[in-house]
Formats: sequence, structure tokens, C-alpha cells
Amino acid sequence: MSADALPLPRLLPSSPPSSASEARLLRLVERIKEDDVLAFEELYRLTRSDVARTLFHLVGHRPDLDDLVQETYLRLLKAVPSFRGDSQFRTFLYRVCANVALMHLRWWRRRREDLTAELPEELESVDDPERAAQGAQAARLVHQALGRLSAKKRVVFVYHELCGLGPEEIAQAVGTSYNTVRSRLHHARLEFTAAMRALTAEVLP
Amino acid sequence: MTRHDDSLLWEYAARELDADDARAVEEHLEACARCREQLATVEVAREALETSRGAIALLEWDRVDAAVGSMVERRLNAQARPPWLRKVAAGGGLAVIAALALVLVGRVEPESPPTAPPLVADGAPVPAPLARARVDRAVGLEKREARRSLVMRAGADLEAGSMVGTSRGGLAVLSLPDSSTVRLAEESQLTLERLDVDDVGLRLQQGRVAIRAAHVERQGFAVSAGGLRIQVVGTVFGVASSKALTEVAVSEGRVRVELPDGERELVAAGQRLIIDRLGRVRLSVLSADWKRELAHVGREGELDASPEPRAAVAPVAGGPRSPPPLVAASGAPRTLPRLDRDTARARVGRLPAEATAPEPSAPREVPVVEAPIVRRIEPHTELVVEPPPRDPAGGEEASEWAVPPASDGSLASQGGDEAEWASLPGRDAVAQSAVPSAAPAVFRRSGKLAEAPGGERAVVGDLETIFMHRAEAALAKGACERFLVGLEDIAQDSSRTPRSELARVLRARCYELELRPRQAINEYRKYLEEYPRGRYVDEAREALGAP
Repeated sequence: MSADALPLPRLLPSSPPSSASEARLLRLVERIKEDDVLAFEELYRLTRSDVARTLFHLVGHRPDLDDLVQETYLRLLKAVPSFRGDSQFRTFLYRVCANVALMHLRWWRRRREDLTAELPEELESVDDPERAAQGAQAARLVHQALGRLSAKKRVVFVYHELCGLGPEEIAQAVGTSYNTVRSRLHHARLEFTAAMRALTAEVLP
Repeated sequence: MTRHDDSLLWEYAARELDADDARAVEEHLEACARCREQLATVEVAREALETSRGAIALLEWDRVDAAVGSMVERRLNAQARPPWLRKVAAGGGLAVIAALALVLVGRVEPESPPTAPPLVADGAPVPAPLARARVDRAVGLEKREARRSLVMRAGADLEAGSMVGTSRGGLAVLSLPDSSTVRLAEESQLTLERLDVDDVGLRLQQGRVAIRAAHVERQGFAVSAGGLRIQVVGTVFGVASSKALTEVAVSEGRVRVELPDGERELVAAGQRLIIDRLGRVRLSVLSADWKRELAHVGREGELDASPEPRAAVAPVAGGPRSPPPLVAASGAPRTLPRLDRDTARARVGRLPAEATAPEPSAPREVPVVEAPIVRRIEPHTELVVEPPPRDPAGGEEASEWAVPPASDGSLASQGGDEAEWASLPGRDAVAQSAVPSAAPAVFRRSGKLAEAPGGERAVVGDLETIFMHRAEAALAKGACERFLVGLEDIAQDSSRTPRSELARVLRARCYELELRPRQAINEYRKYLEEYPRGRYVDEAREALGAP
């Protein structure tokens, strides 16, 4: 099954700057390779919402989420020259996000930190406050359940279920095989469902 | 489905199964209550995922933008240095650096990049037993500590011992405990050694600072720079320090300068003392740009009220839907693509040299003693154009860019959308415009961004205007190849603006110049398809040999 046969990744609902076409991103990448920092700035503006949302789902609502976004672009600035175009640029970007998230997830696990730290319930303002509140509540529950997955399974699960990537693309993003991705996704779904069942049982009488 | 396979339930709920497998699952569900219950759990989980998909935590975008902007600025600074200079510096070729420091901007103390992204200072008073300096204005200002840098904003306090630095295009105005005012220019670094009410000590590591020392009785007010020690009382003066030389310029009162050999010189109002790396001392007249620089500090009790020259991060909207510019643009081509050595060097003094209104009584400056940093400041002050009140077609966003259109053959006078093309002045326009002595306003990016309709487009448009101007200039010099990719990006704009039209033509001309006729013909053909009644139709037809 080739990547072309898979459905296109579902882009998350977002404002226009983050729905840049792959072609436009590739043009910017070419200019960045020629030391055009203006192009990197434009790339940042076009992708930062997607990156922030992806990291948010990968690591949860953490107080240092800003730092992770910064780190992602710092790594991207260094890594872009090595992008050879053998995958979509979005896939490359997801790889950088995954690396940043994995490193921090493992570090937090070693320190046994609570991955869903108590934080103010401030979320990005949207036109529909009720919907935003529901989304916030759902996100908290989802992130609690995701916290029970291993880091690698979490990345695969988030990329497939929340970011809409297909298994082929996820394999490229995380640097593993298609079969490994399918296997991790299979187990992640089972574990996530079990975690959600346990969490909803705690919440509901 | 003959067994309880929970993963199949997920695939069933997600409609990932083919028809046969889905039917098998449905048949099993009819008979298995346990799996029906499990399916309900799966659907709840999937619904939670769907609902949470759009949620995102509110980030401090200002901080993130500032950090990424700093990263980009460091990259720009590194680009501005010629590759050979980077190698020589790395190899420790100090003799070569010294010999060429007269034409290059050097640094007394190299800036060490912060090991962590800059953090925003919260502006809260830092506990300090003694008086503190206050930041009155901050653009690209950092407090530099051993392991990190803190972005400083207006209202923050600085204790004695603080080292502050400005980025490229940055600016800072500090109020000292004794009511003195310090104005730090771009790419400058200053340590506030002593901040007592009656004893002030400053050390300028690099760059340029203008000071208005209050007329108060005190033990001392001293500035150290480049081996010099300047003692002041109630004076408006400035100090500039680089590897090549150190300058002390006085516009009011007088200062006593203690030289490295212990000798002392008095520098009076209207004078400038220069000491070069060989220790040679020269007394000169206060230059025009020093007068302008010191005028910003102003009279006692007044601060410069002119608008900020630029914003390294201008969080106009601040929200993630309207990302503010990271690296502010100005008339200086710092944000243009592919700064090669020639461009990087030439840009320092290109426009200002022609736009400067020379002081008739000032002696002609000998380039060898003119601190390169002086030239570096000139682009920002010389490109001052007080925009006349106008309402460009694009809306109020572009008002800061609006200038009288040039009347020469430059880009601005080629017709089309006046408001759009007039946003970057030609050289004549700059020369014709008044250069107010106390108006350092330079080009800023348009304020409103993606929140307003076409707002983000306005920001991108301003940058593209600069890019187009430079592409045309490069074409005239026969070095346009590096602009081809960017021109293609602009030319592909489906809205068919005058800019995209010109971008297509510039690509064709560039290919002709590069002796690539096939590509040139291709571009002209595309042009005729896209703009059958365009401004360059005759040129395209002639190039194609069409009647």
C-alpha cells in the first residue's frame, strides 16, 4: 500500500495561515536552504498553529509547551538543510515534533512527573465558548488516557487519530516500518479504550 | 467476527473495515452483549477524540515569537559576516582582523549566544538593596547573564551590575537613579557597574550610547569604553566603541576623558574625540549623525517622543491566529534572501551615502576613522520618511510605508497601483523628503495582521515589495539568479496583481541575462497567457518574435 493510496491527512480546523499547501512549503524550504531567513520566518508563521496543536496533543497541556514549540523550530532551522524531499515536508515537520515530544515524554517519565499538571483552564479563545469548554474537558480526559500509553504508542496514536496521518506517513515521520506502526496503533487503541473506560468510570457515578 | 477482538471494534467504528469484515462484526454484535458494551466505550473514546481535536492550550505567543525571532536574528548576523571572516575569527587571525577592522564592523567582546531561548522578564521589580535603573523604552533589549538572556521590556528595572545588550535594529532608553538618561543604540552592550544616586559607572563593551547626565552634585559619573574613561558632569554626550576605534562626542557641557596612557583630554560641546587601535588621538568636530543621535536624548526632563524605529517583535494582535512579525523589516535589507558578501557589505552604506544631507561646515570625514558603526546607524535614520497622511488603496495597514512616489525610472514610478508601489521609496524620494533631526521613524511592518481581512496578506505584501525592489536592483547588476525562486513564488499568485505580473517579467529578463533563452521564452509565454493585456505585452511579444 503506497502513501499515495492512503487518504490525505485530515488537517485540523485552523485559521488560514496553517493550511498552507505542500507546494508552498517546499518552495519556502528551497529558499531556506539558500539561507533565506525571511522564508523561514514565513514558514514559522504558516505552521506554528499546527505545530502547537500537534505538540499539545503529543505531550498534553503542560506549562512548558511554549518551550517545546521553540525547540521544535530551533531543530527545524538546523534540520531543514538536510531535507531531501523524499517525503512531504509536513511529514518532516511531524518527525521533528515527534522527536521533541518523545525526548520530553521520556524525560518526564523518568522524573515521574504528572503528565497532566494542574494548569489554569485557559484555552485558545474561540467564537463558541461552550464548544471550547467541551473541547477543553474532552482534551483533559483524552490526555489523561494518553498518559497511560507508552511514548512511542502515544505518538503513533496521536498522529493517526488526532492529526489524521496514515500509517505510511507515520512510519516516515517516526522512522520505523509500516508494520510496526500498525502494530503500535493496534495496541494503542486497545490501551486507550481501556484507559477511557476506567477514567469515565471514575468520573461517572 | 467469531471472537472478541476489541481492535476490530475500533476499526469498525472508524469505518476502516471492508464490507465483508464489517458485516461479520455486525453479526457478532447482534449476539454478543459484551462486545456491544465495548463498542459503546470505543465510540465514547472516539467522540472524545473528535471533540478534543480542535482544543489547544493558550500559549504565550509573544514569548515564542521573540525566541524564534532571536534565533533568526542570530542567523542573520552570522550571514552578514563574510565567510572568510568567520574562518579567520575561528582560527584566531587577529592581525588580519585588526588590519581590516577599518572597513568591517568588529566586536570588542563577541556576543555569546544564550544557551536557552530568551525568557520574557516579567517586569517585576528585582529585589536590590540600592537604586536601580529603569527601562523606559526597549526594542530588542536583553539582559545578558551568564547562562541566559532575558528579554527586557519597558517598565523593567535593572540593578547594578546588570549587562544589557540590544539586537540589530534594537534600541533602549534607560533612566538612571540620578535622573540621567542613557540611550543605547543597536548592537550595543552596556554594563551598569554602579547605580548609586550620587555615583554612576557605566561600561560600554561595544556599540554606541548617548547619555544625558543630569546636572546634579555627585561623587562621579564615569563611562568606560575601549580603554578610555570619561568623567562627566551635567552633559549630553555619546560614546561609541568598536575594535577599530573609540569615540566620545559631546553636544552639551564638557567631559574629561582619561586616555590609556593616563593623559587627560577635555572634550567640549560640539567636539568629538577619536582614539584608534594604535592609540592615536584626534579631536574633531561633532558629526551630523552624532548630533542626531544625541538629540534623541533630549533636554533635561524630556525623553525622545519619536516613534520607535522598529520592533523586533511587534505583537500587534498577539493571538495565534495573527502571528506578528518576528524579524521586523526596515529600509535596511536585513530580511532579504541570500545575503552574499557583497550585498551584506554594500547595504551598510549604499542608500544613506546618497540620501545624507551633508553638513556644509563639517569637515569631510576620513573613512578610515569613521567608525563603521556610524554607517550602520545611518540607514535607519536616513530612511526616515514622515509619511504624509494618506489612505492607500490597501487600507490603513500600509500607511506607515506610504511615501511620495518617485519620479525616476525606478520601480515606484512604473505605474500600476500607486499605493502599492509607492510603499518603497526610490532614492530620489528619500533625498527629496525632509529628514527631521529628531524623527528616527523608519519603516515598520504593517500593523494589522491576519485578524483583519487580508491582513496577513498585507504583511507578506510589504516584504514582497522589498524583495521585488531588490530583485530589480540585482537584475540591473546582472546578479539575479538567486531571486528566481522567490519571484516564481510571487508570480504564481493567482490574484494577478501588478506585483505578480512584474515578477513574471523579471524572471524572463533574468533568464535572458543568464543566457538561458529557452527558460526566458517560457516565462514570456506564461506572461502572455496570464496577462494578455498586461503592461509588458509588447516586450513579451518582441522577445517571442511575435508580430
